[in-house]
Amino acid sequence: MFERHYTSDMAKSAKPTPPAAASKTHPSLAPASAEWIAHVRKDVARLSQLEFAARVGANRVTISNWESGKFIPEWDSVERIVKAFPAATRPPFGPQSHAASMSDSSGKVAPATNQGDHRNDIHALLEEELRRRGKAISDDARKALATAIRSRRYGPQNADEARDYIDGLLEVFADASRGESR
Amino acid sequence: MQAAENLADELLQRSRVLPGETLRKCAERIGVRIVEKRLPGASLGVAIASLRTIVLSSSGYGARDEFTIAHELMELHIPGSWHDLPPEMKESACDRGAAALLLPAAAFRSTVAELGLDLPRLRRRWRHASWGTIGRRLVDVGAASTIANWSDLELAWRYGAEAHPDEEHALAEVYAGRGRAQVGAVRAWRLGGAGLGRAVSVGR
Repeated sequence: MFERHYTSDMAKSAKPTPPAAASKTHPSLAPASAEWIAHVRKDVARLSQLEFAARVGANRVTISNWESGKFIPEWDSVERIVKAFPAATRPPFGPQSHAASMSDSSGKVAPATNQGDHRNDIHALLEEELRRRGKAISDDARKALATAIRSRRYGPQNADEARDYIDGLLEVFADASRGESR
Repeated sequence: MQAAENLADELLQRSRVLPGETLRKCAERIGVRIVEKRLPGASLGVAIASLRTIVLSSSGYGARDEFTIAHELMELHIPGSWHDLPPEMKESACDRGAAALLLPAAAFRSTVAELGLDLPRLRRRWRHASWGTIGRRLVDVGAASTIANWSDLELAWRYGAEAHPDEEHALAEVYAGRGRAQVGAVRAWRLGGAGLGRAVSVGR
């Protein structure tokens, strides 16, 4: 089974490659999934690549490709990993991870040092914006916003753009909710 | 990749969508509302689970909008644990599921058996799906090993395995002026556009 996927956003962000080098994937295409796999294997499962491969029904080369970001694991593979290691979705990648971080006392967001931190930064940015606007939103809307922001790779480095995006999405959510109640 | 196929099949069965009907109908029949509204940041769609609503920022291009609806339908129905995973993994899974929703495996296989590995003919048959979606389904259902989309001789995206050894030759023929070419196990088509234009190659 082939396991390379390009989402439309990735295709836009990927540097075009000449045909001769086309078989090589841009290494920055999948940093978060690569880091997640490495985190699950090393920190959660505490297994070698070979042992981990055996547990999730893959081979060592596949694990290596996932960890290098060359391939993104497919749906079935991810489900096998999460089933074998339920803690795979807990901190630093799970939803609880943002609770302790948020912003510091100055209200500024600390720079990201890894994917978990980056995720925390995004939550902090979102919380900061919601606080600033004094808007209460449902958990579902908050989660959808965080997911949308994460998938667009917003963070402290492009915070203004992220704020505009949050603003726009909050309006959309409010409109959709009004439409629902009519 | 059975999970994506199974979820797509389940949604199609639940919606009792008929051949030729759009996924808007499918969404409607399973209680998902589609609201069209311009989204910020050039987003094409957002799913709001609690409202069973998809916000669609129409691109004006039917096949792309259909894919966005399919992708967001997957977002609404993918297991909850996925929302806590790195976003590109979920996006990739939803893309895969979306392609399965648009081109259900059994029906698509039977069309490929009838028309062969001929992208333009397949596209004419499945008008609501883009070149990219048809290409990725060729790989998903095992009819092709790789599909690549080129723009001015540069790779825009590839789905499936590494480039086939014949790919470069097929591409060179297409760009040399012929609209289509077949070299060994690779077929390529020039799709037009500005400059050298776009080309799609499919390898077995």
